[in-house]
Amino acid sequence: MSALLRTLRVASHPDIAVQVLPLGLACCAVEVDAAVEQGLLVPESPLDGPSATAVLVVAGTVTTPLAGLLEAAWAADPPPTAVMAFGACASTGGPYWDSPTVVNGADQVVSVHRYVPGCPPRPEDLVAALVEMANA
Amino acid sequence: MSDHLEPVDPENWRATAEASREAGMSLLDVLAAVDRGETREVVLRLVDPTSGSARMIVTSVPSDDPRVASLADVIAGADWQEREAAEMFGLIFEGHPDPRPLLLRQVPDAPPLLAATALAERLIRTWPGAADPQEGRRPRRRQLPPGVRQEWTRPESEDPT
Amino acid sequence: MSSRPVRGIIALEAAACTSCMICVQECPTWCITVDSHVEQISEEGARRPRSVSVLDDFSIDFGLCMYCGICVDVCPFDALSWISDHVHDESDRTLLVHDVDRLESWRP
Repeated sequence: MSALLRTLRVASHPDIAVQVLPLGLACCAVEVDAAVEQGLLVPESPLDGPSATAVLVVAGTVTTPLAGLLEAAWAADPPPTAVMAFGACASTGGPYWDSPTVVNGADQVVSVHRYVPGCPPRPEDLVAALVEMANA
Repeated sequence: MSDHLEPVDPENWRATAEASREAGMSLLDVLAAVDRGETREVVLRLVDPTSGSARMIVTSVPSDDPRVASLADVIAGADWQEREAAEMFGLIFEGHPDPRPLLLRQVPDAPPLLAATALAERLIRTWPGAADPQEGRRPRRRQLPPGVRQEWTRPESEDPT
Repeated sequence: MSSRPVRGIIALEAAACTSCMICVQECPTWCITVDSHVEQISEEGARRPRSVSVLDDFSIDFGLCMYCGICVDVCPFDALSWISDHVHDESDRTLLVHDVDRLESWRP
């Protein structure tokens, strides 16, 4: 899991760099990628030493077969320090709350520290939430 | 899609698909199923990757005996799409080399995408639109909540919630 | 490149809302809740009191909302409108439910 950790510096707040473990499950993953593509988040080499902030970003619908993957990501070595539910599906199940194969929010499986509404949220919303979590 | 939808008898389903593939339509665009109540349909669209021309064919089988010939050995892309159509619509693709469910981890009580299969959550959860703000007044109009089909409600009840 | 969404948050003009419930009934996600009651208003010179709907609460769960805008489109009184901003992220999922006061606050 640690191989998937990406160190990203926030372009609008250059003093802030966060480690992100992106769990791209559905359409919201595209907006996470877009944040990097648009230069809002700038990839860097891994920070030396343990990072204070390592955020597991759940971007997309948590389907029942993938609930175990989400649990494994949260229990990874080294573990993320916080979880962001990015988008309606990760926050509440979103428009798929009625599906028997959808878990209504990542918080049904792991602790969630930040909920970002949107269907999908914009890349700027990811940056705003990461800054919020870095400053917490 | 602007293709003409050509009906094909179930007995000719394989032969028609084979002939189309032989004629150059080697790309499977989609194999889908449709629930028509008394019958179920399988729709196949094949594309010629060189010319771009396409052909869309449909076959229909009775819902009380929903068997269709498998095309998995005619065109490889049909394998997984038939597995999905089978679990979602209760279709049986005869001769399929690996008829396991594709997406569903548990066998459902009824094929999920049939119109008659109720989406339980939409019947269990209280619909906020059922609240009548005008006490004592009849609701302005009786309607089904979005996401609820008429087939799921008891005939004698007009209010499914 | 930073841009504000054109369809970002839905704002409510509570004074325009008659509790007709059409937005609640048309929302595909069932994320709008409206509570209201009827009051009788006596007026000078009128033979009988008239009934008015009083809005008690109007809430949108932006955690469920898929931002389709059907509610904005169907409101016969244009009480709902799109605001070019984004619904802020929260540490608590329940804070994604905006009540009538919060929905009013989004109006420019």
